[in-house]
Amino acid sequence: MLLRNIGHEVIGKALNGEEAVKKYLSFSIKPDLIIMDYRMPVKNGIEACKDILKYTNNVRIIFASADNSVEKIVLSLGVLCFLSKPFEIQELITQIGKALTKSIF
Amino acid sequence: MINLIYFFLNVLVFALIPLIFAKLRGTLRYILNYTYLGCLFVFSNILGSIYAFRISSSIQISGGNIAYSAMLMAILFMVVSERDLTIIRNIVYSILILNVIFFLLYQIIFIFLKDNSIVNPLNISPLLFNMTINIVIAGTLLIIFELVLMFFLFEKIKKYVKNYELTSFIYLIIYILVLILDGFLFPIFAFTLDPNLRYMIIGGIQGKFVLGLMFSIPIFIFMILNHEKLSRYIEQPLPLKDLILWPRLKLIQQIRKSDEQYREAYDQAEFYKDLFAHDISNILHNIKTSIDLIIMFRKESENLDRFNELTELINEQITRGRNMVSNIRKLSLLSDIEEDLKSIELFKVIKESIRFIETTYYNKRIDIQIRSQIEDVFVYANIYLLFAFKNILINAINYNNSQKIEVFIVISHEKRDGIKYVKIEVKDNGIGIADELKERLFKKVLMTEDRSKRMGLGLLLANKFISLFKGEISVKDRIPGDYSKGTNIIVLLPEV
Repeated sequence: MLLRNIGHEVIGKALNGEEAVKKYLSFSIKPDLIIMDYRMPVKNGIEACKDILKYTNNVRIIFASADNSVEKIVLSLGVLCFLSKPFEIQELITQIGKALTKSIF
Repeated sequence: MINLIYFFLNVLVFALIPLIFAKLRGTLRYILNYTYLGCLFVFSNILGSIYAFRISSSIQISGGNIAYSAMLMAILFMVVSERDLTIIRNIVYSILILNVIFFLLYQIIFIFLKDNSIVNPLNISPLLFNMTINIVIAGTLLIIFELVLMFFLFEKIKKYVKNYELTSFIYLIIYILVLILDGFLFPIFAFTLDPNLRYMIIGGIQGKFVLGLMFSIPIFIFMILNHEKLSRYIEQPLPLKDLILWPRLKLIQQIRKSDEQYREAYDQAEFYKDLFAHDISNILHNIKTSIDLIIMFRKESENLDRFNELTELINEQITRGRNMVSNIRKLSLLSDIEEDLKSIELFKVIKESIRFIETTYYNKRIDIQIRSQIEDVFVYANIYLLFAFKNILINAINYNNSQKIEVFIVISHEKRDGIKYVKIEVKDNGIGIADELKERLFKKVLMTEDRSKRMGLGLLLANKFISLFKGEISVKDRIPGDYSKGTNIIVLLPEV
C-alpha cells in the first residue's frame, strides 16, 4: 500500500526465502529493489540473499527485520542497509530513495 | 498330623506379622518392616539347624527355610507398599554386611562353646554355630540373585501385561518359581561335593514348592486387602537401575539428569524470550506502520477504504499480541495442568474453538466445517484441550493467504495397540509446512538450532497439551506430496 502510494510498483511478494529466490530468478525484468525479511520458514532472509547474490551482483537489497542480532552478518553480505523493526515509514521511504539512486554493486 | 498343624502355625505367624504391618502408615510401617526383615534373616540362619517339619516321607522343611520364604514374601509386601526398588538395594547391602558379622560371630561362639571352661547353661551344641564359608557365600549370592531376579521379572511383566488380575497371578507364580529355583540352586552351591546332592536337590525343590504354595495364600490375601497399593505398583514402572546402582553412582546420574534438565529449561527460556521479543517487535512495527499510513492518508478523502484496511490490520496485530501473551502464560502453567483430567465432550470443545476463531477473525472470509460420522465423543482432558484446538485453528488462519480460508475438521475413530482413539484431522487450504519443518515442528528447541525458521509457539504448545492428555499430534500435507496446498494437523486422543 505504502510503496504504491509513493509511486513504486510491487511486482512480487514471497512468503518464504525459497519462494523469494525462485520468484527473483523467474522475472525476465528483474526488480530494481528487494526488501527482504530475515525470519521466514523454509529459507531465511540471509540464505535467500546469498542465493540471489550467487546468481548476480546486479541487485539492490534492503533488509528489514525484528531480529537485530543478525545486522552485522546481513551488512557483511553487501546489502544496502538494515532496518530494525519497528521503524518509521519515513525511514523506509528515505532508504528506498537512496537505494534507487545508488549504482548497483 | 500334629506335625502339619505346627507347620501351618509357623507359616501363619510369619505371614500375619507383615500383613499387619502393611496396614500401618508412614515411617512406623517402614521401620517395623525393616526390623522384621532383620529378624527373619537371623531366623533363616539359625532355625535351619534347630527344627524341621516332616511334611511327608520325602519332604522335610526346616524352620530356616520357612523364615527365608517369609522373608521373600515380606520384601514383596514392602516393595509393593512403598513402590521403591531401593529397598532391594538396601536389603542387599544389609545382607552382605550382616553375613560378614554373622560369620565372624559364629566362628567366635563356636570356639567359645567348644571350650569346656566356658559356661554353657543349656548345653548348646557348638555345631549349631559351625557355619562354613561356602554356605555363607552361597546363601548370600543366592539371596541377592533371587531378589533381583524376582523384581526384575515383576517390572518386565508390568510392561507387557496390562491386565491387573493376570499380573497379580503372574506375580504369585514368579514368587513360587523363585523359591523353587532356590531349592534347586542352594544345594548345588552349598553342598557341591556332597554324595547326597541329588536327594538334597529333589528335597529342596519339593520343600520350596510346598512353601511357595503355603505363602501364596497370605500373598493372595495381601493383594486383596491392598488392592489399591498393588494397582499403583503395577501401573507405575520403577527404575530397574535402583536395584543395583550404588548411591554415589545414582547421585552422579541424578546430577547429570538435573544438568540436562537445566540446560533444556534454559534453552526453552532463551527460545521463548527470543520469539517473544521478535514477535512483539513485528506486532509493534505493523501497528506503527498502519498508524503512519493513516496519518499520511488522512488528508485524502478517497482513501476511506484504506483507512478501514489499516484499522483492521491494527486490530489483527493486537489480536496476535493477545494470543501470544496468552500462550506465554499457558506455558508457565504447564506443570499444573497434569492433574484434573476428566471426561470432556469433544464436539463441545471443537465448536467453542470455532466460535472463538469466527469472533476473533471476523474480518476474514472463513469457512470451518465439521465432518463426522460419530456423535457423543468423550475424551480424557481438561479445559486446556480448548487452547490446543484454538492454537491449531489460529495456525490454519494465520498461515493462509487464500481469499476464502477453508478448514475441514474430520472426526473418526482409530484403534492402535488395542486402545481406541478419536482422530481429529484439521485440514486447511493455507500455505502449508515444508517437509524439513514438519519434522522439527513439535520437537524441543535446541540451543544450537537455527531458530530463524521457527514460526511461533502455537503448535508447540498444542503438542505439549495433547501429550499431557496421552494423545498424539502430527502434521501431513492436505494434498499428499504437495505441501503448498495446505496442511492436515492430525490429533489422536484416547476415547473414554
